[in-house]
Amino acid sequence: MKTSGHGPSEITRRLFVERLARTAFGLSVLPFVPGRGLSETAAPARGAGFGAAKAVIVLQLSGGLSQIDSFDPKTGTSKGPGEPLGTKAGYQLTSYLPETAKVADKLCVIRSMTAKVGVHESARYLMRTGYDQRGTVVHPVPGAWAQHYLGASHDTLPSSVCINRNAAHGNGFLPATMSPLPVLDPDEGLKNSRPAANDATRDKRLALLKSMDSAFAAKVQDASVNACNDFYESTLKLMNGKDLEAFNLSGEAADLRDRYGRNRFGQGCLLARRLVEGGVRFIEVESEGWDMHKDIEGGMEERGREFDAAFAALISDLESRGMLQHTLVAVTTEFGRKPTFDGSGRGHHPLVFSCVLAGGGVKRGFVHGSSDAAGGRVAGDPVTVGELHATMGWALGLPLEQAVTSPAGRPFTLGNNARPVAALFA
Amino acid sequence: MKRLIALFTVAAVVAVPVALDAAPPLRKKKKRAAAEAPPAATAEPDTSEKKARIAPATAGPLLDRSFVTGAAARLDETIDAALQKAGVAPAPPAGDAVFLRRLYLDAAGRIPTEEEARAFLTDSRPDKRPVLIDRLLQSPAYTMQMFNWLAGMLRVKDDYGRGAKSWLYEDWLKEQLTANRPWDAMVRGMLTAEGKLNTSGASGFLLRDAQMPLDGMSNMLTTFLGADVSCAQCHDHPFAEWTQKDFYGMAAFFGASDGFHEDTFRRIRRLSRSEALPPGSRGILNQILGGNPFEMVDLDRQRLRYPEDYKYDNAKPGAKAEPAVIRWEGEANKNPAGIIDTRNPAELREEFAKWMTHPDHPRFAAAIANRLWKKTFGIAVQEPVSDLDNPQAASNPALLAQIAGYMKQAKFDLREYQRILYHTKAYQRAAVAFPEDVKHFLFPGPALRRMTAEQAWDSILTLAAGAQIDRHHLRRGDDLRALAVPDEQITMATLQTLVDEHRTEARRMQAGGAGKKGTRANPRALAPYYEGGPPPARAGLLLARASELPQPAPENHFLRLFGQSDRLVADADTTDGSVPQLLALMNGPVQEIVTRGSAALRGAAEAEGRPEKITALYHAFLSRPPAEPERAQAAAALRDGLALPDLAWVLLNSREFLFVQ
Repeated sequence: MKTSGHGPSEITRRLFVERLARTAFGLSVLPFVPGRGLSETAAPARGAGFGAAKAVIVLQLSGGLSQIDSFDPKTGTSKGPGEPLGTKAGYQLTSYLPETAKVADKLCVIRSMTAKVGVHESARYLMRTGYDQRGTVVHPVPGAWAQHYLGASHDTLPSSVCINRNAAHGNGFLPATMSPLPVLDPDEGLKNSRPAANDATRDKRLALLKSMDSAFAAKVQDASVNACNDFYESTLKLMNGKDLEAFNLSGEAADLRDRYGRNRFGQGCLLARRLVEGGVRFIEVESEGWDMHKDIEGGMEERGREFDAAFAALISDLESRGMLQHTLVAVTTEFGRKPTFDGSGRGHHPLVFSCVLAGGGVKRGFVHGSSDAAGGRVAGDPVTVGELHATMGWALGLPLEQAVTSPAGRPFTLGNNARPVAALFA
Repeated sequence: MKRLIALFTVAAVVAVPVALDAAPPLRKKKKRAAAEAPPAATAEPDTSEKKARIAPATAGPLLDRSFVTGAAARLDETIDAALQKAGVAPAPPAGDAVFLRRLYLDAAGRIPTEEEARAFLTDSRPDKRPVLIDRLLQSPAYTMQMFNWLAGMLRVKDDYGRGAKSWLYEDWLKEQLTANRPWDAMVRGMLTAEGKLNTSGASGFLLRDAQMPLDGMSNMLTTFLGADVSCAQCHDHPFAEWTQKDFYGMAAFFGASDGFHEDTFRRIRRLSRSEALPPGSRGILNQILGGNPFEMVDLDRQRLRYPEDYKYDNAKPGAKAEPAVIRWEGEANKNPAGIIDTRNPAELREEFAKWMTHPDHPRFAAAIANRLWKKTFGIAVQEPVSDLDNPQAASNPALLAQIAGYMKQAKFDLREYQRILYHTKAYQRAAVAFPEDVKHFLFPGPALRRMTAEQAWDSILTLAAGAQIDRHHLRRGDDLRALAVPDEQITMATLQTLVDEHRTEARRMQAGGAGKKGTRANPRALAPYYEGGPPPARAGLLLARASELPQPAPENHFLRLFGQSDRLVADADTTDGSVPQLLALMNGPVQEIVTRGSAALRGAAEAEGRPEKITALYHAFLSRPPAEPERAQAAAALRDGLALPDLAWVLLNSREFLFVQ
């Protein structure tokens, strides 16, 4: 690393140790050394909401949530099978979201999301990374950006976790250690964390392993050996310690688990809350099955109900634990659905759709932007996917203007140079 | 700094294609007009690339040993001269055990078994190293590890979306490697292939990007030529002098080709959604017909246009792009590689392929030679391998020129080229610490590195099941071809029959892929697709080598956990560490298959006394006998209540196991 006469900052020290670690052990980052990030060295006074969130939970509704049948109800020919439902916050939802209506005063609904991509895979990619999908580069998810700028969020737990979905290269061009740790089944928790042998045997095995490794390290003669021992120690600490409990739902009260819903999405939301408590910074929870070309009524009664219960439970649970103010919850999807209702379903429609934010410094009981009367186009205050990402980065206190150079030498920023939406913050 | 010379505008500059003795004759193409109906279907052999199927395997070494050793010696001179100039001492020669393990991992993709290790270490013949090099380069395992390497570079994946599978392409790549087809011929085959994904193996390369042809172009130039053009796809390159016009000039060579046929796709989709078909038909039809919309054809006009937001004054936005090849500084004007005839749109791909793979092309040989150097030494002569725009920026420019020269002299024979590298003293030295700055590494020895995901998996399999794991070869393409349905036979009347007749095959095909969630390759479902019989399955794992599993492996498979590329972008394999990796090695199914009933443990159990048992395990895991203190420590641990499986667990989890010295 080239330095320019300044004393080594925390970042350069970290990079230095990282290089050494790579030298002998192929580790790109010491994953468990929480770094002090760039934002602390380079964060002047910023605007409202900057750094208000310590954690972000993204609820991904894959397939394309119909905005008109959820957060942006319409009348006339656009109206779907559900009825409008008033809330105490003054805006309407549909009758498929009765539990959500009860926490409406804590939500910030964006009814003017807009994009161009109407194909599932590309739209999902755009929503997850803030970038159009390309065949030449993979972009990081916000959790990876945050780990890059702020360092790891905990000394044993991963900084990013994705629930009910694969990691799908979420680190993008950033090091693989910034990739989210996938939990495919919330009830199962972290894979392979149960020791393979009883305690006595395990201790003996580890003692022998330790002496063998030190012989190898001496032979390789590399300064990184001690750095790398930390890595093994951390894994053992995670296996033995109580941090692992963050992945274990069995400690949660049965009635709370019921309230979240005994399904993968509901339990995933509960796991997300536990992980935030444990110190994980960025969590994605996926819900599949929102591609309602046919039978929106049935779909909303099934998927919609699951979502409604889990989302409302998550918001009120976070609120009652005093966590909502520093946890940003985002409901995202792929795109919206067409205003034309054929009596059964709706087609893909990226031009206008809804996303929802809550907590983490955003306004409460607030609707941002609007769609036109039919629900086909943005009527005011459009918000792009890039802006939504910049907004998440802003809430996390990331230095959005500091570009990161990919290994191929190309500069990138979180949100693809979009600005955060200041009007969303309280 | 590279300076790009003005573009070669070729429409008027026409020359007779240069005949090359190394090049196979170019086939005459079927011409096909844009609006014309598809040609009548033929019976479905792989006709795209006759050469590939017919070409006999180059069985014996092409270059004689004196040439190989001479070339290796001259490479060593170049390396040693640079080391001396820089005052860097070469590493000491590697001992037999280190050489053995490294060569097995590099040439066969796995560690040696206990027997293989012991046989080599106790062999007293002076030429045992060259003998081993030759043997491994001609083993089936050579194809397996080369496939892994190619698959990461070419972004090989099973699933092209909507039921389309690239199995035939994967088989084709393996055939090329087994037949040791020269790299230039192989690339020409891929660039000029015609036909469907289900019937033409070679066409799978271009069809991979049929729906994103510009990204495909970008990858192609970066991978095959080290021309770093990805920026120029959207705007003039900010540092190098590639312009957006250059990019479009290159992409125009593929502008008369079509790979994804939306009309066919829509027709199949419409028909398969018919209410007249029984429930579940759609899934079956997807499996059988998913590949049909993917077909490489050439049209009679070039259709690529500059983007509507084109912002430079050297071309009009939205105007038709002119095919033109890029040129590098210092490239001789008379370079025959640059002579191209762009008059016939349907021949554009052929012309491009001829240009790119020409022996006189200024980058083609260097790019592949540099990549294989990296595969062998851990670091390329010029880093990154994706950018050879300025060869003077190589860590050792003379070495780069030299390896490009040997690649040409070896007539693009990748195996022979690697044979030269394995014979160098530089390769046979002890490994050195991975440098902080890869761009100025002078190769005092190979760089110490962690095994690739594939090497780690294949090595663990070797411990679990022994050398027999090299015998199971996944070949799914023939099934695909057998079920291929010509487009014009897809009518409402035939769909019902297709569904009824192929229900079983379709289910099997579905299972032969990674599955939607990709949780785990289902051992039973994949079993029928193996030549050499189904591989053993244990602890829920199919003990098939990485190259003989779905591509890429399912996301939560060991391979992906350890850094196998997801094949979305080129060269995305990593050797980064992670907690889940350590958890998998300590507690997961891989430690189970190694510590319970493994080939390595069986070998140790058969050994006479305790010291011999310990030695057997060391041979199996680390390809070396234990040092005396290690043997004493292990013996003490065995007296203290640990058993051989515990020692196996420890060796598996040792850092030495995962590293290539």
